[in-house]
Amino acid sequence: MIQLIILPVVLVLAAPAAGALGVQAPRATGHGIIVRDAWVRVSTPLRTSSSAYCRIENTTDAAVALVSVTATGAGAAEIHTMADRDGLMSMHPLAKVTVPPHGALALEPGGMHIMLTDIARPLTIGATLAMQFTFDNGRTETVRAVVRPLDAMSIR
Amino acid sequence: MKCCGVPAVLVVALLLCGCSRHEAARSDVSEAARPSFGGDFTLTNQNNEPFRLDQLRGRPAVLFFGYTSCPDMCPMTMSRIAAALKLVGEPARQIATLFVSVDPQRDTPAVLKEYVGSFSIPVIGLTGTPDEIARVAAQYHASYEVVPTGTTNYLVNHTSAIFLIDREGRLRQYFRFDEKPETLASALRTLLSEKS
Repeated sequence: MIQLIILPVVLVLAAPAAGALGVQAPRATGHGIIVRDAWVRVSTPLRTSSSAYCRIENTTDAAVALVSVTATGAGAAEIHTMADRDGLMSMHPLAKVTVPPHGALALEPGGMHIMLTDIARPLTIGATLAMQFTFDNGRTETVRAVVRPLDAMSIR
Repeated sequence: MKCCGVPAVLVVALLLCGCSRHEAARSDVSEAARPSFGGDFTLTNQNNEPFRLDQLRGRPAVLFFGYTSCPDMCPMTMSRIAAALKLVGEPARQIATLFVSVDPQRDTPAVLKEYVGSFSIPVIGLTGTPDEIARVAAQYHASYEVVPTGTTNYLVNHTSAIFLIDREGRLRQYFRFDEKPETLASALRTLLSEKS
């Protein structure tokens, strides 16, 4: 518990230096859910959709499910997964995704991701996008996703 | 890794019946199969100019079917292609990368221009009328289907293969979208080593 209380303070102090290295400081609130390494692909004036990724860690003894996501300036944000049907790739929305107790969930290219649509202002490389992740325990985490090139594969 | 060695006729049959599982989704395309698999086409590029595949004669090409609103798989595939070209190095300048839209309703030349300009490698974005796209997709045994949502934010399910075309415009191989860049690079080096 002591560690959880102290951690946010340390992260706030470390944030400027971490940002300079292109590494995003995890967002921890002291209640066991950490959303870290959030990033999003660029969008353009005509291509107003994008995809966002992150890692969600659950340090509690109970499973926690991500049930909704919003992103500032985006008309919609949906949790999606990808399926391969005989070489025909398709994406499907998910109502929720569960993070096991003392486990982690990676939203990453080629798998689960957050699909953003109707992005009002283009996301430019190096900028950040405020995103809110809401869990079934009622908690909402707000992170700033780093905007990366269209063909990026990770936050780094 | 070696190609799976599935006889080309079987590969074509598998693709035609929509049964192209992983095992068959990466293979050589034999000369016997080529009359009905791959070949020349004419579409419109991101500058709103006609583009004919035979304009590339003498240069190998990588071809991928996708759409610009594709949030995840298309950027990831383009990333793998870019990584493969970087592994090939300077000779990769000879290789053309073609992105054929399966969403001609939204992917106008202007949209494609913004899209291809966002990649770290030169990409030729291609679109056309729905009939023109359907014809090219059929040539390459590529499938696609719009998933209706009632809004303009629909998704498009589509074939994910990466097609490799040689200096003569012949379809030579295709790979899964998530093939390792090293494997793609090796296949591209082979095409580059061939005389035109």
